[in-house]
Amino acid sequence: MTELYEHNHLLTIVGAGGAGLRAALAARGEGQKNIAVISKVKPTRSPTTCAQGGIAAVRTESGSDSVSNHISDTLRAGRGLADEDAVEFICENGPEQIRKLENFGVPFSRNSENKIARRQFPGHTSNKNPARRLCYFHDRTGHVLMQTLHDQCRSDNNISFYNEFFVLQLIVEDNKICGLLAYNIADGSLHKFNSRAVLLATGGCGELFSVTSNSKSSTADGFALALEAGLSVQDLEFMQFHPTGVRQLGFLITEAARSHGGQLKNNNNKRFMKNYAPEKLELAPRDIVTRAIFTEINEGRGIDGENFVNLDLTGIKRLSEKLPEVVNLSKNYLGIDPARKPIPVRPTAHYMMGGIPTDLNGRVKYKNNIEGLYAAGECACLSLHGANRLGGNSLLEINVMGMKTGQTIGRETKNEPISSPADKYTGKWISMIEDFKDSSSNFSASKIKTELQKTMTACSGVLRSENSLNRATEKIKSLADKSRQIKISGNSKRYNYALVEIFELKNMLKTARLLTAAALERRETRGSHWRADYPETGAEKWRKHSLSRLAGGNPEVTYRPVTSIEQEEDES
Amino acid sequence: MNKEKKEITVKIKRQKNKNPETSYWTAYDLMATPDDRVLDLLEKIRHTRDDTLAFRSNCGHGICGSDAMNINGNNRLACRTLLADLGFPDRVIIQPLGGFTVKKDLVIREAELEDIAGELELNFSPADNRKKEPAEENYNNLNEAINCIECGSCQSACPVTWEEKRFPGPQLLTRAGRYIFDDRDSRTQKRLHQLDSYCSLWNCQTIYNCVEACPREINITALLSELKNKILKPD
Repeated sequence: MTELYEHNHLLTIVGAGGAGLRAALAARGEGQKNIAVISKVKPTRSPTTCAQGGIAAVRTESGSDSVSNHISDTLRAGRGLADEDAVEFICENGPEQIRKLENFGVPFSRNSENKIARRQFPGHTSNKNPARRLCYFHDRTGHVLMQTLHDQCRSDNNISFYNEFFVLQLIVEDNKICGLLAYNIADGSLHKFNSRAVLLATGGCGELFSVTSNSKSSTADGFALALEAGLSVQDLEFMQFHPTGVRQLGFLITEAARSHGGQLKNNNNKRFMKNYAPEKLELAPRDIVTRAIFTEINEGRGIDGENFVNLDLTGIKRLSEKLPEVVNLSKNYLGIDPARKPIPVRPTAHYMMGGIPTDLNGRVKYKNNIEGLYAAGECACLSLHGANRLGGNSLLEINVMGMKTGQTIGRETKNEPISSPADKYTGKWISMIEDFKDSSSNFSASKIKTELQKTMTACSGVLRSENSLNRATEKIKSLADKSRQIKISGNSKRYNYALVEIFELKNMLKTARLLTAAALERRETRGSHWRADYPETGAEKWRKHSLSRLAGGNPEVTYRPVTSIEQEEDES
Repeated sequence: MNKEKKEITVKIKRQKNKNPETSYWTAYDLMATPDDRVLDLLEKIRHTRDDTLAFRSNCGHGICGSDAMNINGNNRLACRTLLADLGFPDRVIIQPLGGFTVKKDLVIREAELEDIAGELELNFSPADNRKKEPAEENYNNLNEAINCIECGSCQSACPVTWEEKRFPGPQLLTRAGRYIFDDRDSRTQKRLHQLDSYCSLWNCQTIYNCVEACPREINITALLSELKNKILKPD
């Protein structure tokens, strides 16, 4: 019999990437004294750490750029699906956020006047000219951000870390969050967290695809937790494929490589972007560049006919000073010095624009609201990114929304006794876990996971059609059936990663099913959602958000309108 | 891409729980290419041979610091090590990082480091009167120190940490240096005083094992020497 451990925390944060840690600090700032942060991995190992490019935030004292430019760039890149209130809110809060992060200790790179430097990034403009808008630290912005936030959090005794815990399910009573149930990866024990507020900050789902820039831990956990609790997840059909992932391994070459002058070339050594975005060329937003690369490869103009094109950085002066990480990664994994030879790149699954819908305070909204449940970061959908995220806006979002959500919870969660509802779920999970164990069999989750990734890449990936999406649906259903036969040979409770992989696979299968359903329903092309059979783009009737949920185990897709706000002032 | 393929033997030191007496070795013969990462081999083994094999990994490209381990005698990141880097050998021998308590197989216990991190107060504390311009030397050292990914490779390679458990070790001293070299921080003197105390920075014997082990190529010993200079010659 597995013992059940109980913990009482006013606020429990699930996920310790940028959004989770930023929220913990903001809740502390409001005097909240009893915070738990649960993470599958040590916080500094979260995927936020991999972010290279920077944080988009206008320098307010500069005359050449303005917050309204940032707003219009974000709306334009969102292809009509970004909510205006969300975009305004996030862009307006950018400058303050940079000051706050600087005060937490983030050592942003400086310019010659010792002011925080800004770098140019695709899609960011000022009066049609490229704008310098991203604050950064070389090409390791996410790494220094996470190190700084983690250092701030771990020196604070009011924040308790539960590293290497996997959240199994949310506990909800009478539409109120009561806490959650978690599995300790280190020793296999089960833990019930009683809380007055729960914040989901679990990141994305890049692992659904064969080639991804995301870390192994990006397995759609938050989406599945919300779906299981009966909530809807918004805009799941909008999965961003970053144009320049390293050929097979999938990790990123930052877009800063293109802003610094990197050129994309095909098999004929031609800069093909002039055929797709004659003005912006390599500085076009991600959806356009990704489609261009995909088209070049599909039409046989990949390098040596293979599935990649070249990213030529040989013309960039002082390359190793500007992009040290890119140079090292390229030398290390490809044996290529990018100062001399181009890097082979292809689109890589990068970012889920959709997620658990929230309001501007991070409260989960739409259908079956659960009091006390919040979401922030990639797992949430504020409708900031719409159909296509602009580079630099996700590090901005995790910081603004992490802060805002943490503050809201800090202010609104009263320091009252935490109730501990009777445990209803532990027995179910214990018997499920025991059922997986069978030393005579070895039908591992990884086989199904690999098949799922192949299916999603081929049928629900960059280019989709009714046929491919129907195939994906059938395949996902049969994989879900097969997943019931998974057995693991190890009986050990300690670091049983085969078991964790089963938990993750279940979350991935659920999310894949809904992503595919939402993609099937959206009969148009918009942003990252590219339909071979419906190439028309921008139709007003499709300017709406999808909301997908599980109804009796089957996907149900409905829609809600995009939020517009009347322009009160003229854009200056 | 290199198409050369051959069968190699991967030998892994396993351990059932914290008790070192539960350790044993397993060996697997696998087809491999010089482009395979050691991480690829470990994943292949977990997915096709033995699903009980425990190791940490996450980003897969050397920035998250999860998968430091001892590979053919050196501390390395499994995701950052191609077989070609090892000379495409016939045998790859993998052990957990030495000097740490092993929790299972290649998974080490990191809680000790977290405790020392707490004692060293590793967090930024902004100064009221900030210097307008950071001294260039400090800034360069900060740039170097902040490159640390807390993977444990240097800590494990340092013989002083094996003997003197109260020595913070190269990883935490590098992390402390990250704030000492930051001209915006207000606790510089306090931090230096802490490092000056018994069992602290002076235990560094400039052995350079840490530098050799660091997958981020941080010149740790030089950084620690800079910190020693700061204690001896305060500004």
